Amino acid sequence: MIVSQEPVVEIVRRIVDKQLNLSAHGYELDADDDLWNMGMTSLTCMGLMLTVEDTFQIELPEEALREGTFRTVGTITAAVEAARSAHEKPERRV
Amino acid sequence: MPRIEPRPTNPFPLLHDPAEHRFPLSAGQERLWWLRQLDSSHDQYHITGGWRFPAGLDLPALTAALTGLTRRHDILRTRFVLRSDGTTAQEVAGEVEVPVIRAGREWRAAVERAASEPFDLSRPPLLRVVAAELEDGHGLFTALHHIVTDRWSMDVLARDLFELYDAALAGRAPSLPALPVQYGDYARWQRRLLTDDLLRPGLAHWERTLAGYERLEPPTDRPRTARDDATGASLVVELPEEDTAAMTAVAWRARASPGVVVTAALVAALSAFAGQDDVVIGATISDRPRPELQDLIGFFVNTVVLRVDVSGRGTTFRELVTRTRDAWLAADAHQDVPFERIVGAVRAGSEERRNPIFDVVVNHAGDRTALAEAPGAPEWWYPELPVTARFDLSLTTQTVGGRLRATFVYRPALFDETTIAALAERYVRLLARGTADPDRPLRELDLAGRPAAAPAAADPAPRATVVELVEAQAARRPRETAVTGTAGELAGEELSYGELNRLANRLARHLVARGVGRGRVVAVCLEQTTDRFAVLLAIAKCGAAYFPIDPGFPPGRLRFMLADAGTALTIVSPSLAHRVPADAAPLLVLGDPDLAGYDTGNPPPAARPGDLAYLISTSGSTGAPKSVAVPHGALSRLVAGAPRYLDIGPGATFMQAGPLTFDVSVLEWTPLAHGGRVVVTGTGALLEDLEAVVRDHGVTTLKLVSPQLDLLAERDLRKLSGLRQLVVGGDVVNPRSFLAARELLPGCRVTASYGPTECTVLATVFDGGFRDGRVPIGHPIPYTRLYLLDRDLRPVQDGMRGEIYLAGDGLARGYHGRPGLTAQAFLPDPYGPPGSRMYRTGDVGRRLPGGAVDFLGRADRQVKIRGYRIETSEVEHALLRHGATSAVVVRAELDTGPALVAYVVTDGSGDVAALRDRLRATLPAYMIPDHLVRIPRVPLTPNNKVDRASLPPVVPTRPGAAAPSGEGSGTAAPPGDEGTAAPPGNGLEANVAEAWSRVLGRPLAAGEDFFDHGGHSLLVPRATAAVRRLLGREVPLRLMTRHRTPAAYAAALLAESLPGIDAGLDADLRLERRTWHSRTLGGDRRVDLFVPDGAAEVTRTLVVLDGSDFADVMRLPAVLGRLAGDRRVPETAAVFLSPADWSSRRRELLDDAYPDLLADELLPVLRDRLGDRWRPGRAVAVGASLGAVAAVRAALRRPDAFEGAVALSGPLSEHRLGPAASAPARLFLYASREEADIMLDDGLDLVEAVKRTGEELAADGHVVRCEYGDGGHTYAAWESVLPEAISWALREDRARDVR
Repeated sequence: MIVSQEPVVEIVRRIVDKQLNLSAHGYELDADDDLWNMGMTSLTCMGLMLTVEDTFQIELPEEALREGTFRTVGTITAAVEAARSAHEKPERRV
Repeated sequence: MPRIEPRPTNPFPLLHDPAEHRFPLSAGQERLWWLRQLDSSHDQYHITGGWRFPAGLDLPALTAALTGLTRRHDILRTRFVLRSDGTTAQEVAGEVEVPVIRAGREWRAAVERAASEPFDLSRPPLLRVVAAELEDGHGLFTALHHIVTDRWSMDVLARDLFELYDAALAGRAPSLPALPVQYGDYARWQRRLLTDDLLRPGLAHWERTLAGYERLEPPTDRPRTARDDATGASLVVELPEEDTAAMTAVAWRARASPGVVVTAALVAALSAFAGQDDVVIGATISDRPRPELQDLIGFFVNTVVLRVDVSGRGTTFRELVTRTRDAWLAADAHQDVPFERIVGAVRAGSEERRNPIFDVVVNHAGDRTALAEAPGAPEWWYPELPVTARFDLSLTTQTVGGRLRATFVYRPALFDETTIAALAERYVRLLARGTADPDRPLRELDLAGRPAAAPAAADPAPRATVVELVEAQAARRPRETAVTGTAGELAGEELSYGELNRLANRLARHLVARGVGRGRVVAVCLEQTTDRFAVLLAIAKCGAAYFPIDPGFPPGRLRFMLADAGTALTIVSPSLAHRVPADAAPLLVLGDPDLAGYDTGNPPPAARPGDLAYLISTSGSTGAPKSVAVPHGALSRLVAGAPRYLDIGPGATFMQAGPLTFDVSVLEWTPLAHGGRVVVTGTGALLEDLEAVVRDHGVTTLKLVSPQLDLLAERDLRKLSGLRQLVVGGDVVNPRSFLAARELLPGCRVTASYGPTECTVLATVFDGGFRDGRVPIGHPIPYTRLYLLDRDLRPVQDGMRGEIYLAGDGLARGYHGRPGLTAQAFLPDPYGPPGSRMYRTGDVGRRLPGGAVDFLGRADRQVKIRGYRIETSEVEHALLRHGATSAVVVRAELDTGPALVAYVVTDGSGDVAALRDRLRATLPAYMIPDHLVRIPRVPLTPNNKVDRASLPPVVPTRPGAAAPSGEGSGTAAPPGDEGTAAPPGNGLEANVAEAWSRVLGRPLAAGEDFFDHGGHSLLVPRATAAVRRLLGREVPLRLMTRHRTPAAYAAALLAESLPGIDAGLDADLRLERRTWHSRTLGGDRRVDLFVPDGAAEVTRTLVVLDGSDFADVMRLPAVLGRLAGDRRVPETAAVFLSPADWSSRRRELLDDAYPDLLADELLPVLRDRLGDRWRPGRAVAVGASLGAVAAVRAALRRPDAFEGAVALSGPLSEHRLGPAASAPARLFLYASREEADIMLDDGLDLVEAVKRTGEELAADGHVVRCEYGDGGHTYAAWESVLPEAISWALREDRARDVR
């Protein structure tokens, strides 16, 4: 997927939404809603992790590989941004 | 990276409808409801939970809390009902009360009862509460049916209950999250998703995933039985904290979860346990796909199937984790497909006693621990309860205090604790090693920690050849008898050791003179006489090998064998000389050359341990014969060790009853080498005189093969009373015969033995006690090693299935002149001394506790039918246990598909149908042979092996009918089979087929298995409801799981409703069934004639349409018999006409030519049968439904032949009945009041139709009686009106009844 200028948090929100099937029912996901209370299971979390890595073409660093990373849209976004900046620093365009 | 396929979104809104109180069941609930119906006596689906109340338990507050809880959660006030159309529903009641059982200190019994007593699902609450006084405070125990809860819900329940309780205590309002929806809303929402269209892609996924799957068949310690024993036991193992942490880290790094990793380790352990690469297990997924569902109590669990491919030599643990993760993710994405639909889609059938598709289930808890771990969460109380095992084996893992806890729950009815402990140990080891070293191939990981193969024998077998040993005996006891003959011209002749040795010495010298020496092969074709020992010994003395040939073989084959073995000479008994092709090899006829001139002293020793001692031709059931070449060293190993387990020394008399071509005869060397005596007998295949020979010659040690023992056991084993030892050889020894020998021969040691020719006669012997109806093959004999190895030639753990390999000093050199074959069967022995070999037997076995080896079958005789891997020997074992004398089970490719066929030998009285019934009581249905064929004798090859190629083929007698499955609609009918020709399909069968076809949405033939054609258990209530409506009475749901074809089901219904029919009611015995061909309509059809006994004239006759329904289902013959017996009707004969096939019934009954057919074609059949007893008179036509129309038509249109009709539930107004003006007929018209629901094409309902037609016919001058009853359009309703209808119609005094 081409990572557009869309803010990371929006992309993450969309991925989470798709994994958890939330917005189909008009549920507005907040950046700090606890996903574990919204029907996320370890399996959907796994799917979420794989999709996030796929979408942003990143590999989450070791320290991000824990449940806490996937608790909210906000935490995921933070992990993605950290991974991307580590990843892209050498060739970062303005 | 794999493509992540997200779970499809349920497009419907999940909303609460406060007005609605009736909901469908969710898919999972429906499954539980069904399981509950299947077993009304006990229930494995209870969920329990308990909590501590250290500060005491306030009962009023508890009652208030429980009331609050049931108000809050509709599911706790829900009843589950079956509606008359076969669908299920859950209905929410307004209020229910939850009684609290106050058990005090004696709470144990109350808790156990609450946990185990079945729930009536139609009576809420499905919740029991026990208040207990514990030693340290109070405890509250709850038990719920799984259909209203799940594990996660128990945390919700605890939170809600405690908050309600605390609030009640404090007199405040409870503070709990609002419940926007209730369980029923969820169920309805879920069901909306489960339409065929929405399910189709999911079903396609499961069909793809499970295509060609192999059921996981771990070896059980006890055979699976028909009895469903859910008693469970559990075993807990823990992974140390550091390993658990490592496991979690590996999980994350592999982009998987701990649940995936624990599953992967289970898959690897099961793969090794079962010896299968294709591992299919079940998993349960907690499923609350919407935020609104998080705080509900209810059953939110989906069952999915995980199929993981473990194959590949280099597969690493990490790779396996990835494969397992992908299986999990795919299963997660398709979990909306109800398990029953998966079962239906892959035609996994519905085994009543076995879970479809899988028997092992994995379950990783720990997804949501927030509630249970929240501060102030109630403290759990776990009173000890009996474990129930819902599956054969399940693994639940959970991380507790940083350590992974793995709980194995298993069925002790199938597995020993040691077996599960070994599995658990391997599981933990795999998990620890796999996470420590995820990139090592699994096979290496698993290798370490396996048991070492049995250590190689420390001392090699003594090398003295039989020549040296016999010569030593001849020197030591020259005058003692070595051999006694019982057959042929030399019967009764004895040879002493001295004589034997001298004879052999002379012949040896002659042979040497003819060029026989080391490395040569001498064929022998000898009578069963004493001189055969001199011949064999002489050949050995020359250093040559003997090669027995069977004089019964065709010359071409003999010529081939002789040439193949490169024989230098053939020595033949005079009487057999003409049988041996003269051109094949130089011939030496015994007695021909005069040997008197030769020296009688021992010739110089020639044979060395490496020289061949003999060749034995083994003709496998397929392929060309091959000869096993056995060197002296191997024979020495047999002879040297024999005294340790065979009674063959001085004073012993040994006999075996096989020909020389059979390698058991090689055992005759053992007494000769140790100073015992051999009796040589020429008894025939049936061992006619064996008992007499044993008695007359004082045989002490008898060696038989298993079928021979069975033969003797059929006669009387006590006739063998002089024996000191009986040795029974064979892989499957009939345990009944074995036990009978032990019981009937006190003082006789009964030994089982096993050994392929390639391991010099014997490999193992067994003397011990056994259980579970199987005689183990036992322990290796001296100088012999037995390995149980997996596909990679690594030892399997005790209890695990492995292939049997034999090693040690007894191995043959190989197959004579067949280096390729030899290399395939004789492999380097990785566990023996350098350079040693091992022989691959092709047999499968496992080590029992105590070390004895249990034979499980042939590696190549495992058959796969309908997805089940069936060990044919297991079925054979069961047949033997249940009274068959011998049994051979094979997989046959019939026109109707693959089928399991059992060939059985039973004694004269043995009833094959009864045998099948007994099998059914102990074996799971998929192991019940489709065909049981009785044969007079099991055909054996010349080497006493079962000759599978000679078994008669199975010929289904009903071409076009599908293979019968399960029940005795049995069609295979070679002579002697249980199936007489299958009865022609009757109306009931056709109606059942039609009803089931409607439920399946596709046509199902009478002989086709419902469950093999897309049926699944959740369709059973609907299919049964359709049959209930047909019959007008209750039919148990579970009938369908046993009787799975319409034919079998109809037969079972008949057997059930007519318990007397097999016992032979008089009336039924008088039914004569014929096949009748109608000129008018064509086609063969069933006709039954009912003719009263005795010589009396028959004055009245009935013509009954849809005859099989009236004869088989409504029991009209019995009704007639009873009415005549009570003198309510005169002696009456009847002819029952059935349609040719059910699809043409309607057309036939309404055919304008039908009345004429009845009058002119059918009635004469009855008239001819009655002959002189026939008195001219007219008949009464009887019919129901459309048959009623035809019956009335016959009476109106052919008054010359019919005087009247009985017309039940006929749509009479829909059809033109007859000419307005016809001779007056006597007509009994009947309808059931419920039939007012049946609307006819002319706008009348059926009751009105009967009423109006009756009025019109009466106006036309006919004698009409209209009756209205209850029961609907059913057989039951018609059956109940028949006595009155028939007696009125047949009544001779007509005037009184005119209306």
